[in-house]
Amino acid sequence: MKACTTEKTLQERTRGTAGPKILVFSCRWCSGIGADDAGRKRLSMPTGFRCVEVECIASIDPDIILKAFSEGAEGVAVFGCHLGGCRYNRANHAAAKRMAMAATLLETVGIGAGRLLTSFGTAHEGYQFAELMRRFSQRIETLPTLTRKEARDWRLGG
Amino acid sequence: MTFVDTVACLLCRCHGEIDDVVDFDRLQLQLADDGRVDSVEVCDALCLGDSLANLARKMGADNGSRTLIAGCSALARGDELVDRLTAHGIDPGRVKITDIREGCAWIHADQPKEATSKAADLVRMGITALLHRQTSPEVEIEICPRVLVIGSGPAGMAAAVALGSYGVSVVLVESTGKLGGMLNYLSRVAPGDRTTEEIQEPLVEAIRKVPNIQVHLGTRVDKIEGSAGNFEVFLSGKNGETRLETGAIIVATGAKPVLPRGMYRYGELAGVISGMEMEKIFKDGMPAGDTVFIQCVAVRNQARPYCSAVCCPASLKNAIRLKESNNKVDVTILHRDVMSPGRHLEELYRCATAAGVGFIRFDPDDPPRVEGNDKVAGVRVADALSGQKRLIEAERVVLATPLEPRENSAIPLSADNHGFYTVQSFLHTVETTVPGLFVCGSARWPVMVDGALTQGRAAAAKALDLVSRPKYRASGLIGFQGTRFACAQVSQKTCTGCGNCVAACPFDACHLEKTKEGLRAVVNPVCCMGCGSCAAVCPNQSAALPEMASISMARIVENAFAGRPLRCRCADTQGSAANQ
Amino acid sequence: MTLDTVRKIARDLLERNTVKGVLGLAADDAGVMPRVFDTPNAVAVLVLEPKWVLAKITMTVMAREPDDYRLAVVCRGCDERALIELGKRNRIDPGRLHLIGVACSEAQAKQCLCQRPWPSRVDAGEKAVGADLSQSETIRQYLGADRPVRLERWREAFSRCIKCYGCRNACPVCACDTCKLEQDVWAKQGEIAPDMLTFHLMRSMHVADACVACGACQDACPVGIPLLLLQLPMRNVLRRSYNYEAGTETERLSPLLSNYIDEPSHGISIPNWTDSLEEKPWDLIS
Repeated sequence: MKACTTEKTLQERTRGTAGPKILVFSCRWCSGIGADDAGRKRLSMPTGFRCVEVECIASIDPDIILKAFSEGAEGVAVFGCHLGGCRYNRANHAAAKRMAMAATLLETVGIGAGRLLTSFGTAHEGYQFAELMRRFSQRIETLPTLTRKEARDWRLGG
Repeated sequence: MTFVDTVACLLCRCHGEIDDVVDFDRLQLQLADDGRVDSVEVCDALCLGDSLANLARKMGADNGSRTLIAGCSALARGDELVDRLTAHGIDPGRVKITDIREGCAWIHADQPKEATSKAADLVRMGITALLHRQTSPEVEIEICPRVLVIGSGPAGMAAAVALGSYGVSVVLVESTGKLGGMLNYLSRVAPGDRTTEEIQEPLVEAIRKVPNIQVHLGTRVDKIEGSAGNFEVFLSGKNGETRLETGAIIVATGAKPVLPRGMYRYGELAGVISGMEMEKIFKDGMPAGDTVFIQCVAVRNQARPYCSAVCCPASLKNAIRLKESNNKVDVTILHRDVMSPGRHLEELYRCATAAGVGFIRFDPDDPPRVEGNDKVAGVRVADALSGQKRLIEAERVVLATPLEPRENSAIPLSADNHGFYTVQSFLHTVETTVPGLFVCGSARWPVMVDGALTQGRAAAAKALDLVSRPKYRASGLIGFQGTRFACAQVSQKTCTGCGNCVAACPFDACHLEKTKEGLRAVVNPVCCMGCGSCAAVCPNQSAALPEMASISMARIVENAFAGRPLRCRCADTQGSAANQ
Repeated sequence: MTLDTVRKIARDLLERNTVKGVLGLAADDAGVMPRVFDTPNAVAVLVLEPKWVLAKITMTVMAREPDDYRLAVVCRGCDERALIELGKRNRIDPGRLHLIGVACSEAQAKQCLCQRPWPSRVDAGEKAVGADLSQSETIRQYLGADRPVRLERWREAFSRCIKCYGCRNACPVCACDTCKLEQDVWAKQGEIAPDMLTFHLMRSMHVADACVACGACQDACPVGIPLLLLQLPMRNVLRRSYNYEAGTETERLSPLLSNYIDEPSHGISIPNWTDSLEEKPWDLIS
């Protein structure tokens, strides 16, 4: 699949930017392999994100999402296999439901549901992964910063 | 095994692929500052030359050490390196691969400074994961060296014969009074116009002759309990009730043909028959008279939105035979699509057209109408291609109906939207979500006799893999590409018996047990696939994947954006699930 | 009137030995406290005010009594819902309980922002209409304003927290013996006010699908954080997307536990790989 023009433009726009801090949880099957594929294709992405690989996104407790924001993440992305493609008997459906609940809570307190991205992809979608990371980073950048002004006291709560 | 609470770091340059972008000097300095790091070494390429053997030797000399390898991704060479270390006798739990190539150097080639910070963060996350990692105890199951085959159609018989020929003890259970399943009702088998006898007889003969195949006719399965290697099956039949122990189960219960009740004047007009009735007529002799076949009856509609795959080939087969017996007979097939994929079925279709069978496409919104008073006179159809309405005179109308799933509450398998048993995925075609339970033939999806035979043999091969050894490691049942997070465990000390994990487990591997202290959840390590659903819904971390418990993830997250080394918190691991 | 009815029912149950005890509120010189009335005469001091969610105490009482002990509980709507949720989580055996259903007044419902101020069977009191949430100023402030304003308000509220654990202790469905909120990784020892995300929001998340909107958390909070409001939008999502309201069904488990997205009346649209960046409009209350 050829890189589309939108991707190139976004690549140029986000080149050289550190990118906001994003914690990415991806399952080690489809979406993890997709992320790896993006790496193998050497697609350029903003540097602000860190990946944690889990067995299946169903194992992601919303508590961890909250912990991520507490530790300075400005966005959290949860990437799983396509609905219908989960090898753990549709466990990604349950994950989607829990993430929607977490997003509701984040929206309630004003952190914003847009900071929690839940998405599903397959192993050959390296381009999609890169595109998604760039667009999500861009979107986070347009939001007001969560952390407080003093560099030392950057925790979200307290 | 008690490990020291520091790790050795090995940074792989990947011959410049990584350290062209990531500044290894800075990285080494940062890691040197980290109290959790014992030593930092750099190598050119761990996968080449002696590097791996040297590492194995070093780790072999100090059994308490753990190593973090930062280099390419697990998928690239990482998993392979761990396998090679294992082959050298190093416990894979002592090694962790952190990806700083596909996940860092290669995607941030234009930002070396940021890439270096990111690499440092990633390595620190890896160190945390390694330090907090607990391993699931390996569970070895003793395998009962027997396979139960449920159903004696072509799939079941092929499975039984394949297994029997390897000397495996097979119990073949059939609910009716004779072997053969669908083969008893078909006239011929397409492609190739084979008789059912030439397929059925050798199988039945083999089953009769092989002493380790036991057949129970007129017997049903009432209940299946237990797990892979140790199923307990309750049967009932003319011999009364029996209990059977078996290591693997092959479900070959097939599917049942749908009767076209209320469709196209079936049951109302003489001469309107179902596809199966046509097979019976062929068995008794050669039918005569102009015939019209109508495809897609009672299927590909709202109630059954699927294609049953076998009905088009069946009609093609029968249409050809009619024409070949008497060329003057008019045979027409009214269809929506003609499903004849693959070399042999394509040829079947061409054979039909060459033989003079007529094909008319109709629109599902304007289906054909059967005409006649007390018997069939003809069929009026709107030809979708030409737009013309035509009346085809005929004495017989054959309604091609689908196969639909059989309901069997004794089989503990989940079914898809249409009711057919679900398989693990497109790559595990006969394995189900229950380890040790395999499905083949039309119980899995409507399939022709050849397909059923092949699937039966495939299921036999999978079952053979399980029952051919006296012991089997539970983690080997889980999947390909090696298991990294293994099985869940529930801490009996902190579990409150709320049942969330039991409800959330996609494989029914978790159940509640009454203990002195109250209800406690227990995970069956044989059925557990290690997905972690239980861990996510447990309110107090009692259920956890030991390799990556909630606390580990929290600590990893702390390290993700710290930008600096954090104090080691190994005290966390004392409360983990695996220690209970 | 309602009080007389309840006392009469309680006396009858004890006289006929249908139950061994009646759990309700007792008023004496020391004040009003929950008590298990075990004789018909003792019921004379039973009162119905103030609002006191008795579900958790029910759990404690049942745990210490033998298996054949039957207990009657003076139950408001939220009590009953909490008991049902506890029953689903195997914390109590609903078969050993006899509920005396008391409907709340309109004034009480307004105070609690309760939409369902009645138990499934009303033995005493009249069913009142549920509170109109659009009239609540607190809701407007904390759930209605723009995101940055909301965030500041919530931050300010949580900054007052003194980590008394009152919210957790009072919550009737919060019933783990070992609690994550006492672990250092989520709530650092000595850190006051605790981290908003890993303490308050985590607690809120844990009871998301079990919350019966009793308001006990909010009532218990000594610094007046509007904790009930945290749960209302999540309860709304469960109702809209799955037609699920905690405590109204005795058999059906939380939709968050099952793997199928096609629960009854599912309203969540699941995004594809690249579509998930579209921002959906959020309406927290309706």
